[in-house]
Amino acid sequence: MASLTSKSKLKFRNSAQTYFKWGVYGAGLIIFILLLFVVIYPSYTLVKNSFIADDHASFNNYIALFTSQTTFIVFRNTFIVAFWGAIGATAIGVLIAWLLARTDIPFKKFWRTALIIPYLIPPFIGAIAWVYLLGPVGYINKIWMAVANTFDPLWVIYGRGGIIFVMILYSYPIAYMVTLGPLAQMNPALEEAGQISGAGTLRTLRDITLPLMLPSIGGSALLIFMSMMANFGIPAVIGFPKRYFVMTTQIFLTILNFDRANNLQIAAALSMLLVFLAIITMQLQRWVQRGKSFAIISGKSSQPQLIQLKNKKYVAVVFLGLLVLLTVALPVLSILATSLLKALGLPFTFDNLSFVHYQRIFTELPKAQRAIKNSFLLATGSATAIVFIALIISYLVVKLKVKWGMFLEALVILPYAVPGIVVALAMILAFVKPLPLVNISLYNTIWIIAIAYIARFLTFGVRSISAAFEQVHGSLEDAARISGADFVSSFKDIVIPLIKSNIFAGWFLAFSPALTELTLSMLLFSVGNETLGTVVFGLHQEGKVGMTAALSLIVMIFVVLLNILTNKITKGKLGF
Amino acid sequence: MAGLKLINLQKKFGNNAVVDKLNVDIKDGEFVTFLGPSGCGKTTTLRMVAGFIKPTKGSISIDGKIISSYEDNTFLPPDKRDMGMVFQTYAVWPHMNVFKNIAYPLKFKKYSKKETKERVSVTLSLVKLEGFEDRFPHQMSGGQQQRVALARAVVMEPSVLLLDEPLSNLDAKLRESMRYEIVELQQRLAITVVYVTHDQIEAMSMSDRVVVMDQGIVQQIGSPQNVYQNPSNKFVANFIGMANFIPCEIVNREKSVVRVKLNDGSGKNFLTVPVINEKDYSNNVTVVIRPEDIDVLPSDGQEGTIGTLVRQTYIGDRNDCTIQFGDVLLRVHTQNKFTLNIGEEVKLVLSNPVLLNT
Repeated sequence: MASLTSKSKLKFRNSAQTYFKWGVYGAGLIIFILLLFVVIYPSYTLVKNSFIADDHASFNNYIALFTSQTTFIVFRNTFIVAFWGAIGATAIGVLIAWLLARTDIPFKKFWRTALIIPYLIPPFIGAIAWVYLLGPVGYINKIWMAVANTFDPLWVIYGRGGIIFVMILYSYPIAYMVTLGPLAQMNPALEEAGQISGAGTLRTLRDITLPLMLPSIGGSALLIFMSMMANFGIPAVIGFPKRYFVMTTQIFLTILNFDRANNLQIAAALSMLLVFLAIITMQLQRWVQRGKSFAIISGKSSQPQLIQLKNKKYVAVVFLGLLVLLTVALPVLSILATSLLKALGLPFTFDNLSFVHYQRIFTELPKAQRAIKNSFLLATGSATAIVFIALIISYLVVKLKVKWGMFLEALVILPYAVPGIVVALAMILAFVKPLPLVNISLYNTIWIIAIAYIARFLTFGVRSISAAFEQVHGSLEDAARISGADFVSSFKDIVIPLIKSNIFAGWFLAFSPALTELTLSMLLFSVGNETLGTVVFGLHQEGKVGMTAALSLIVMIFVVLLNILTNKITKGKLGF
Repeated sequence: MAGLKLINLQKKFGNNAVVDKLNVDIKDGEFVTFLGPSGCGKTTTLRMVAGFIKPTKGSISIDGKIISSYEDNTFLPPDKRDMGMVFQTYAVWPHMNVFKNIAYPLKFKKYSKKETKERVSVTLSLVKLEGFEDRFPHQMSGGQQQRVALARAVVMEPSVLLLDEPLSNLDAKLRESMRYEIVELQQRLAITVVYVTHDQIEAMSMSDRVVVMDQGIVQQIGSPQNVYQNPSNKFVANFIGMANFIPCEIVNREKSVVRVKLNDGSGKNFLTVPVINEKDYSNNVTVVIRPEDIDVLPSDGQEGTIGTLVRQTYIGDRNDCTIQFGDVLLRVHTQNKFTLNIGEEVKLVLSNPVLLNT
């Protein structure tokens, strides 16, 4: 019969696994409670406040909103901007995806990289760059005035058209990335069947390809619509000078309008409207993409035939070249030029160029130095925290399949699904008062920014690490166990090495948006706790053009370096 | 080297028993295959033997040593069972090269570096992968990965080798050659093998004994010849090979011979079937006859067992006929080369019948 030693040994082995499991359960429970505290409690506070006027429960905030002309205008502005922006960005993105996936356009590899870059430039910096190009004294307008010999600028970007224009330039990569996969993987037999039935190339495109792609195209359009509705940076930079406001900027101004009674509560009510819009769009997107799978019958090795562009090739290359020029080359050059020019308006001569703005950033502007330090600290800290939290959440949901996993996932998704400005307001309302028991106020500290970043970007970490756990098939661990590895060894030797690159990927996916974050920081920062986003934005508002450009360029260099590093570490999975 | 004894094994998930009342005694060095359709409990049984699933009743012992017993509250985890296992998905670790994959089990046996190297290279030559040490799984074909998995499972000379549908992901040709290789390997190592598959050809061609399972219950245990020629019930007869079932009545019984009347409507057809002495039969019985045990002859107008030809297909090595016989359609594989016309009456010669309770 079984020897006593093996029996006692087995008890020990089993307990290592059991301890681990209970450890994960315990940690998961703590995270669950913390998430309730930083996600549900602020959400609750936001909803509650929207129904409080003059310290009493009432509908007055909503009544004030619905009876005000401004609300109607802002609502309309938001819709117009997001609608046309989404249509423009989707049209461009789908066209690019089609050109790259299904035609013989040359230099594909170059386009693939170059056309993704706008996605990496923080939108508010892109907007600032376009002010340098198409502002009243922007480079393009000045060249136009000189060439056309006139005092009227070609086009001043401020206002509605400019917001739509810049939004399109910085969000078409979403449509491109969403539709590229389905287009490239579409079962070629579907199109071949169309051709054999007698449809020509264009007819097949119209009757077969496009209808099959419609769910992906519609889905990406709604995704862009949502992100434009939630965007704060672009309408702030381009809309403020002409007093053209959308929901996000209106909420921002209402929060800062301390003279108005119940300003935070009215902002909360306005936020509720914005969230309502976001939820409708999200449901619509889900509905549009419900039948998505039929278009993506995996075509393993059977790649669709490439369409010969022939002499239209040049038109396509010029189009893509123009896009790279508009989204990457011109903005970057304008920022570089502005940062080197001693003063805006001086002609480009060698004498007028200097590094004075860079010098001033590091000598006269302590808040800029603080911002660099703070942003790196915040991004590093929150990305690291996110990875640890995501490891536990993913393990609970994917490997242990706990029943409360869906609640955890909902808590993770909520702060990213809701527009950033709303998250920021909820954080203010929830944490402006000192915390009970410990009597410490998070407001006006760097911690409130850190909490907001963690809550908002947690979904990136969870997505990345959950995917990794799903890829580690159970039999890989079983094989280790039967080979003689105990639970701990099998976790250490098999699981961790296999998910390592996804852990890094999750870290970078959280780190990069945190480093250049603007919306949350704008409402949550305080003196001493500035971030890169708030300082660049602040300098721009103050009209310190040269320093804005210099700091923007520094931020962009960080972003580029980060992407190269990401690419190296994730072995090409992320970054470029 | 070890015999493996599974006694009254049961696994319930909730109220649903996926394996129940399972008793199998596997001898040292024997190749035993658990065969059955998906969901029959064969893989669950294998995973209980491996220690990935805790039985809800019964015990498992190797050479008399209990490794799992619900009643004694004993359960040895997989890493303490000294078994090797090959998985359906290969489960070759993608982040380790071939050498590291195969050497991994030796890590827990405290082998020296030199010994490890020797063992790995001996094992690699055993699976015909000499010189593949530095390759990574993604640089290898499915068949090669399966050999790596096999090498990893036998490298530490386990007492028992478990194989969970190891060939189901390979293409047909490779599957056939791998069958012989696995048997050859088993014989060379004189190792006890428990093999799980839903493929009857694999089971028949490789095993010393086959355990046929359905719905968590063992239907029959026996040699491949035994389960084919003497199926113990309709399920086994149907699952292994092709079978014709003809309902009939017992007319009289002597010790080991039963005379039955076939219920084909004519009332004139009788058959003598050998049976096991002590076995009891009800009144309603069925005769099982394999397609190759029926011969078809042109009807000469005389008395006999007569059917009508419904369909015939010539497939090279045989004529595949369908014949209406009373209420049943019989499948017949005949070597006869003459052609018959559809709708023609034919004379049937039935041999090797097996009697089953309905």
